[in-house]
Amino acid sequence: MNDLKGTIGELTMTIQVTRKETGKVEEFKLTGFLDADQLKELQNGSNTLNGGEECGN
Amino acid sequence: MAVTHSTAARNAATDAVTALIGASGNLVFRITGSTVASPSAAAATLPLSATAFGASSSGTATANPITSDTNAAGNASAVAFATIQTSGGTVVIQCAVAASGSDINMTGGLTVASGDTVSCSSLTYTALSA
Repeated sequence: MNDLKGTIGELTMTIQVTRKETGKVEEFKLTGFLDADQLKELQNGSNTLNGGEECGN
Repeated sequence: MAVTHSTAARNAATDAVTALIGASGNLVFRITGSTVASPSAAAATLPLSATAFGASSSGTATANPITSDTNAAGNASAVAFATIQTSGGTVVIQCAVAASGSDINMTGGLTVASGDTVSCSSLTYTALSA
């Protein structure tokens, strides 16, 4: 049986968190794959191309 | 062997998924342990526009303006998942947003404290990559 694998989807977003205590704004660019295997890679840190990325403070 | 889809097919897949969100859905940031069937605790909940996403172009749909959560529930645990769900709470899209794989190390991950304001200035969804 051939291993036919559809290409995976992804969600990308840029979020800003304004801290209540300090008023400091932190911005993050997040990318998440929707594929289960890719999720595992994200969660165990083996995927260096996707995950959270702090853009600035 | 990977399967390649036409642009029309990718647009159709993306639009089909975003249509499931319906009116007045939410973008929710959640802590670890979340599943589609049983979402984990929400750290922040951001209301989507009445029409959550525009029509897909080149396989990718861009969200219409998203309302900030100006008084986030917060959680001591780091945000681990983002879910997009219907107004009734049914999860349509879920993905991990763990920080451990980042090129830039975010020690402790992204945490949201109670009362923080969480905004989302950009959100795109792609059902099938090219």
